[in-house]
Amino acid sequence: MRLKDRSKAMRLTKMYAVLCSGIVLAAAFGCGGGGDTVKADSKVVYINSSGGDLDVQLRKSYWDPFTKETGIKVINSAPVDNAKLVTMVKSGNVEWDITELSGGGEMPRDSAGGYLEKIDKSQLPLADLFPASVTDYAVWAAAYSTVLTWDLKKWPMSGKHPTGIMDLWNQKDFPGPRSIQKGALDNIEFGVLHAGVPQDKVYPVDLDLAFKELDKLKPNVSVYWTSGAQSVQAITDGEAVMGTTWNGRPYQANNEGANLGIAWDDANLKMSWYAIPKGTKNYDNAMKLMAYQMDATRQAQVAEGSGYAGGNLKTGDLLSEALKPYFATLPEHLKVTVVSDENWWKDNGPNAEQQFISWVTR
Amino acid sequence: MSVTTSSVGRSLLTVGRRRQLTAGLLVTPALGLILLLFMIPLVRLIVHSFTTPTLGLQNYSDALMDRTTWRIIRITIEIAFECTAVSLLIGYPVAYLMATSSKRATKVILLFVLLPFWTSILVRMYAWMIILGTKGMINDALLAARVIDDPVKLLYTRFAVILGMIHYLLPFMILSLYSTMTGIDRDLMQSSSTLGASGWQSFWRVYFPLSAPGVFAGSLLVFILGLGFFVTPALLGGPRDTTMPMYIQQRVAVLQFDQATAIAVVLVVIVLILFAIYDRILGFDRLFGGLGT
Repeated sequence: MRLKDRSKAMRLTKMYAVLCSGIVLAAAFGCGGGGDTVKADSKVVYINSSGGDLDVQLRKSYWDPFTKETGIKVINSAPVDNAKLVTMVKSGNVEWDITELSGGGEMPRDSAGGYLEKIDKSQLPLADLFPASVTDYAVWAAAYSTVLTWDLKKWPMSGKHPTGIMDLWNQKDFPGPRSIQKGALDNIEFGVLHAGVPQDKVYPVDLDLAFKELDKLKPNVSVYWTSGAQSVQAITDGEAVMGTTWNGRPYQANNEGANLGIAWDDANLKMSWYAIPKGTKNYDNAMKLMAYQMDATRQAQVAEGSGYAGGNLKTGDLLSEALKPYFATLPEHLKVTVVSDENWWKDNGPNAEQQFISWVTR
Repeated sequence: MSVTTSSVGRSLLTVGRRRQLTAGLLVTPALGLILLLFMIPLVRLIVHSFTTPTLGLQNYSDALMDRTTWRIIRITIEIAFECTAVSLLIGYPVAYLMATSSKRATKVILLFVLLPFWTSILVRMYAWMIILGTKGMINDALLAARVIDDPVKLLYTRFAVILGMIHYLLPFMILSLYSTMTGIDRDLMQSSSTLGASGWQSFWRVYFPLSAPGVFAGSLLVFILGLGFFVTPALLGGPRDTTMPMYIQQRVAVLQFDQATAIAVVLVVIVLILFAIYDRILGFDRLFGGLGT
């Protein structure tokens, strides 16, 4: 390059360098603080839920009709992530206007922790809802149970087949690899039940007893599932012959051609909740959507599609026969089901999960 | 004709000084980005681990008194080490081939090496799940060929984790090795055989030592990257393939942010210790030296 050109190049480079540095420094000092990225908007509501087939059903039965009736667009996201909720509220950058919360103590923990807005009960059809299904901060989204599922090809209903969770340990009659959830939730209850503790004495859970019993199951566990889809995939893919899952999953899978059985003895019933994160910008729209989802007919529709229903007392009457074997709150199922103690989980959850990680890596 | 660099009036800044200033300014955007997006959050994380919920080492004693933490540290280092060893064994011949082939052949091999980068890592991991599953491609093939009677458990094993991680890390190793190998003068091998060395001796005593900087750089890179893997062990691994990042995630999931920060800092410290050992045994200057000059 000629000397003159080189100098020009140098000068341009220097200008560029100064410009870039200026921009970075300005950005570093200029955009301090959370910043409002989600604006209040009268025409939109953001909902977060578990995803999968359930979301497809929710869109059909709840969200699209809601938009048609009120003109408010419903934008959904997945999956349910309690840690994300807490982080959002703490940082002041709340993306969800209404979210689902899973069982296992999340709802009491979040309520006590101040991460949720108080709900406006006047907008809900309180007379039609299970009394226990409404708290100051949340309403039931769905009742769901952890049940046993297995490959019907191996043990069809016509012959000897598994009848409940305890058959996980039964290698004599039903040999083969098992699939259980990766986490303490449900597994420790199943452990103490197998050790002989009666259903009404499961809580408070004796963790040492639970893990000692689970040690007997461990050599046969080949899959530790972390998502609902994986819990049925493990059986249909042949990674396990029998495992735990949530009651709606085999229903959805069988509707799509799978061949899965379901058994209820010693199942564990939990509630998922709808709640409004603290600091949301669209509280009114969120409450409107929450109330909209409490209607019996619509809840029945969702149940038919996904296997899960909410807290409206009248929903049970509207269910079809095909759904009944998979339905969590059917009286025959409730008789043999253990109801999860959310308050025990609120206080002991982190420790139990911690011990599970210890157990699972041993 | 004008003098274009420093004129008499600008004697305060010599040419050398101004070049340094320009270099400094050029680096500022990159440094600024690292500072903003990496250093500041890291410092805040470290401070959090010492101050929340109380000032002191509470979080660290909680984390380190638990035997599980040490178990998981061991697993994480094990996995990273195994990945490094395997990717070195596989990567070295590939890089050698690339460095000694014609230009066109090298380009073709490079294409294949870089191909994995063009797909999302999540998609690749799910693909591995399909291939390694009980009803997957490998088991189907083995069963059809009557090599085995029952499906082999390939998924949710350490083997699957290493396989998945190598899929991601191998290009890094190969490119590190390749960049050093291209600088090795091939005449040196010829001279060595002229002087009476066998093929193996030429390789081991001439070529390999010259490729050492690439080996060290590639190994270090792959090892450090391997320590931070989350997705692959989570999707493809069994319960005993729990890594530090997964452990941190588990703490976050039960809202124990404070313990999570302590464990994260422990991971950073481990990496720094390994760095120091690496430097002590092998020497960082080896990374920069010996390009056949």
